[in-house]
Amino acid sequence: MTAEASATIASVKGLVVALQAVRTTLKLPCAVTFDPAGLKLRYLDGAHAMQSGISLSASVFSQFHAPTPLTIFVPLSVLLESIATVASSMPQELHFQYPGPDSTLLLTTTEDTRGRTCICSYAKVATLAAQDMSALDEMWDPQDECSQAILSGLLLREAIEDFEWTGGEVEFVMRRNPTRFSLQSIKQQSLEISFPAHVLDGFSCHEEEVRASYKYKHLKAAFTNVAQKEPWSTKVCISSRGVLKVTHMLTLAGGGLVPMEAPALLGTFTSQGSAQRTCVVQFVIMAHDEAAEQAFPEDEPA
Amino acid sequence: MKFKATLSDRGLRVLEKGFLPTLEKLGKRCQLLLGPEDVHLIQSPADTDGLQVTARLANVVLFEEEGFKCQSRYENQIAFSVDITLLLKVLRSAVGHDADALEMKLAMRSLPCAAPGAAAPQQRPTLAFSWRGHNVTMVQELPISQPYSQRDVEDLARHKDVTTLSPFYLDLQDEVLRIQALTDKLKGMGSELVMATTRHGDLHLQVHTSGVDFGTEIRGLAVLPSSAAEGLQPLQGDTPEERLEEAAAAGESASVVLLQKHLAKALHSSQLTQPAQLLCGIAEREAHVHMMFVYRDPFSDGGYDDNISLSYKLPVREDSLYGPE
Repeated sequence: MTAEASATIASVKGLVVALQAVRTTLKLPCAVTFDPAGLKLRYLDGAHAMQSGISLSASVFSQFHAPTPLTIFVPLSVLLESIATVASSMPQELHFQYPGPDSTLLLTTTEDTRGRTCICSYAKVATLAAQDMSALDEMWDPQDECSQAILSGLLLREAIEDFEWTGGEVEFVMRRNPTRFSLQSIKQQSLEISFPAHVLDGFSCHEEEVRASYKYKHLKAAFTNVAQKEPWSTKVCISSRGVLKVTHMLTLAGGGLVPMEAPALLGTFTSQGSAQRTCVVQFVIMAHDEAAEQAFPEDEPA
Repeated sequence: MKFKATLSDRGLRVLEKGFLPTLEKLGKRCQLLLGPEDVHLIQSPADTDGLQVTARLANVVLFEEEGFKCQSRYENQIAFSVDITLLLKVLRSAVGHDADALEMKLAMRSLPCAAPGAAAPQQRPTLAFSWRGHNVTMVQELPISQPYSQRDVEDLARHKDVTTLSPFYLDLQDEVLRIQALTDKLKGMGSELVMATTRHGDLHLQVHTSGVDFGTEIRGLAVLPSSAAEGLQPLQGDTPEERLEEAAAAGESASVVLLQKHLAKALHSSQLTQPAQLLCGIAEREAHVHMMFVYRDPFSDGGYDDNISLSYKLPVREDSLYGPE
């Protein structure tokens, strides 16, 4: 018996906005994993210098069925485009199902049929042969010591966008005493942006000073595509080996989630409510390293 | 050949706000066919990128009754072509100045700077507009093409509209905004799409590419004439594809392949004229797609206006990539 999975989500518009965070025009293979915890998309960029992923916990879905963990591979841009297209008629619910006909990933929309007219759309996304995804797990080692900062994602996005004209790479600097988190460009142009201590919602540093630099191209992909209008918070971690991990905590807006019954305490109610709608977007970026770049030549879009 | 008329307020409004901006989205020039009863604005496939567009406006909508004159040797019909942007400019400046009594007539204008070597001053046909607004009196002459010869006028009159109706039509107006949103997204997926209509009131749009099969079904649209939907058994299929197959097997559907950009343009441009119904039908033998726009009569409740109409003919691909459906 082949493994099967299905999921239904009501906040379709929220999903489309959240997926903007990982938008790309590259036809990268993307691993779609259904497991009892939720739905995950993960992919690795062509140069093997960045891995990205988005995970939606099972609770954001109105129906979620994945008895055994299941991973399939589809071209990322095709998947994102298909979701955006079926969602463009603003359906009530979006339904994922695997396997669909010819072992495709089947996306369908449903709508209240009581109206006079209704729109049903479907997309059958052809799946790719299974790929080796071991590379997806080895870049970030949870055993490593790391330094981290939590702050507004919007603020970080604006800062990264300001580095566009400097070209090349951007260096992240974190210092323990006095607390300091700044970004600077070191190549042809010099620009330094420091975040004052009061905008940092969390900060820790595993050494007196941590410095690591990353390619602007990757930082742009990781920080600047989030399309959410409401403020969101972003965690930046740098491991002792210089690997950068960026985590955006997004909120899935809209859609009819079932309201929780009989809230005991207002405080717990709100926090649980928002936890339910959270969507986690994660990027792991290797430190910029000339030697590694030669080993894996860049796959630029055609 | 004589043409003289005064544009009414309503005439100015429907042209300036509705029909000319619509035609402007589809092509640069349009052909005018003036007659004693009505005016046709026509864009042939050569004027657009493949669509045949015809707007018919009765003279009672456009012009004041007084002083109207349209005479020619060809059954009092006159035809020529104009640049839409220039014509719109003239009308917009008239609207901007609250023009009173906008008079238009055909005139020949002699150009003082004739081509070198020419003996007589050159004569150029123009459509002259004159109006009075606040503190300003304006006379504008819009250059037009040479008036058409008898044969060309007859040709244009003969081909001015789709004469045979499709077996049945679906009214898309209720869902036009969502269909527009869908076609906008579909444009990114491929240049062609399959369109199918069923007598059950369903419109299907499908795109097939190597990586993805996409389809959408818009159910519950009004079917015209209503006799086309009489005596049908409801479709039993669970998915859009099954339902379409079922309708196709029973001979209750029609399907064509057309260019995405044609459909998107037709849907987008039409809304400027605020139609009450947008009827979309596939012609006999899947020869073309016919869209007809029906307007409400502003002077009566619930009635449709026979004095205004707009129709598009969308070409279809005959040697379809997808083979016969």
